[in-house]
Amino acid sequence: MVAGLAVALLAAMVAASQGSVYIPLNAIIEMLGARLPGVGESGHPDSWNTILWQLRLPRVALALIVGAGLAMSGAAYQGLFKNPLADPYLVGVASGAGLAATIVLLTGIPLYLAGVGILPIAAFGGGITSVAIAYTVARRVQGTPLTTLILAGVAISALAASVTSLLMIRSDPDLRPVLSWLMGSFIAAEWSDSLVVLLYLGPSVCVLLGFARILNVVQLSEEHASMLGVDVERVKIALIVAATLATAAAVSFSGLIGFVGLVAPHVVRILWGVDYRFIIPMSGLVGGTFLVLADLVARTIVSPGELPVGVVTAFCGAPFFLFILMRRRTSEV
Amino acid sequence: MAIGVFEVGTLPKRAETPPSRLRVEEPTPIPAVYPVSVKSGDGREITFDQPPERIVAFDSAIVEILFAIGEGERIVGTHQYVSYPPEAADIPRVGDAFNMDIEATVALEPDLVFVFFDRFVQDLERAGLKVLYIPSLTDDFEKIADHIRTWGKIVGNPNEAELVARDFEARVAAIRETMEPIGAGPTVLQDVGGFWAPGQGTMMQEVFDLLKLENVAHDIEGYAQISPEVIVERDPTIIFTSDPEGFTGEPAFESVRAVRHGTLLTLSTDALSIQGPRFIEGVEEMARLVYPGIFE
Repeated sequence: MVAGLAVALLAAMVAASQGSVYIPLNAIIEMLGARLPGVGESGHPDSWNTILWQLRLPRVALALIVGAGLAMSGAAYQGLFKNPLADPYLVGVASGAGLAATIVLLTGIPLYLAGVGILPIAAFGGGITSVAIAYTVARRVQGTPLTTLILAGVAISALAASVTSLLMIRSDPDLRPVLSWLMGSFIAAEWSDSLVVLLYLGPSVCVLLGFARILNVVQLSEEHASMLGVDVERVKIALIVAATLATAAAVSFSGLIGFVGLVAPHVVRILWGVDYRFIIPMSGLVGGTFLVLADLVARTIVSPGELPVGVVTAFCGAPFFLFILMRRRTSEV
Repeated sequence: MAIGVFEVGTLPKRAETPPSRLRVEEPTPIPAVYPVSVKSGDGREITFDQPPERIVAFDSAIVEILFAIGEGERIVGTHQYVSYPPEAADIPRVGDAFNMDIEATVALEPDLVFVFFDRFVQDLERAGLKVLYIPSLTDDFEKIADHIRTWGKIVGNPNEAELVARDFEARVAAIRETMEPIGAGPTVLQDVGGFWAPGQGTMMQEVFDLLKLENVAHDIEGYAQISPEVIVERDPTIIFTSDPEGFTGEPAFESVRAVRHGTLLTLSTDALSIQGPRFIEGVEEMARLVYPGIFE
């Protein structure tokens, strides 16, 4: 775990030092140092300071937080649903957020109102709404069958995705901003974004970590957990709410980044075992590190242009994951 | 230079007299001659023995061209996003951005269907329709004048088309003449949404070249998303955007000259995205916004 933290910090340092505008490493270190008390101005161009403090570091921070949030939510879902295909978007967050974002981008709703960005608010609302619908549909008097919840989530996702496609096909031909949002991007990251995501992510992570031990028990069977005096229904609701809030907050600023939440927990499980008290935090470190590096690739590989980070996560992540799967020639996932 | 400035300065206001021809000499009347042969985008020769009377014009630019040369009433169908001229509002729509309703097109009984992409050419021809497919221009906006002339020949009104085409060329020439004594202009960025910007090989780059604007996205190919770091580093003096708040509200762009000077400019029309006679109006508006003392 300590090693994981060190790797994550190292990745963040590397990512901060590289970008489409070249800034020498020693200048980066001096500019970082200049913020420490007692150290004077670094004497580097203002544009370098702006790029480092207002563009590059906010991106690294947001990528780290979003990656961690998606991966931990994914890990919790996989444990809760006992399904290796579960990802943070399982019960409809992504398609709901995507639909709301598409509506904002295509219907001429102003993107800013009194200086506040409308897009993240809409995406967050859309994500929460679709999960709420799925949950309401799936809820029974004596509990919430998880299979029903997944099915409701799949149906709502399909509906929201087709409405999104419908809007796109009926709209003005210039779909580039919508498509790049749907594929995920940190291009507009600000410090305040990270702060907002952290506000949701902090409590969510506490809930996820707090229930990690119970997730271990639930892996055996729900009945077994009930016999041990665990209120399985409460655990379900708490985990779903926590993972949904974390995911909705993450995607509202970054768009729909695929792959991280599905695969990071599997990598952790394959490499380091099956204890959720370890899997959840470690997935966060792996997911965060991975997304920081993926964003680094996204913003440098076609410089001065950029790629959507979701493309990079799939192109770099999928072969890596397949490689791990091949190396591990046993029957378990 | 004084003469050039004077000439441009006396251009009539666009809103009052849309197709202005004031500075264009009347050409010797050009007779319509048939057959007319036009090269299609797939290399075939499409021949017209007489002017088409019922045209489905699946392209904003062609609709604008036909109306500008006084032949708009030949259009019996178009697509959903045609928004100019106002007279075009009543034309039946047979498709949207990606789809064409072939049945509805056939039902209009057109004697010519124009498309700017080749996806439906085979289907339309199988339905027994005459199709002309010419892809949109990707560069060299001055070829718009040739397109106007081609359509004049097709619909049998080469004279009017010549006037519109010459007006277009004269206005490009007037801008070029006015720009002649002006040295390197300001640096610009055009953000068409979400940091997507035009670079090399785009019509916008040509417009920037004409107006001597130095595009900060000059090393981008076509349209691509530009890194915000590059925007800060290259520090454009002018940013064209329909969404100025996306820049003013961002601490990262506080130091960018366009934000500090308040030169976040918004074009009032979509003229520069349609390759018709109005394109030059978009260029003129951009010129007025960038050089307010020189172009009025």
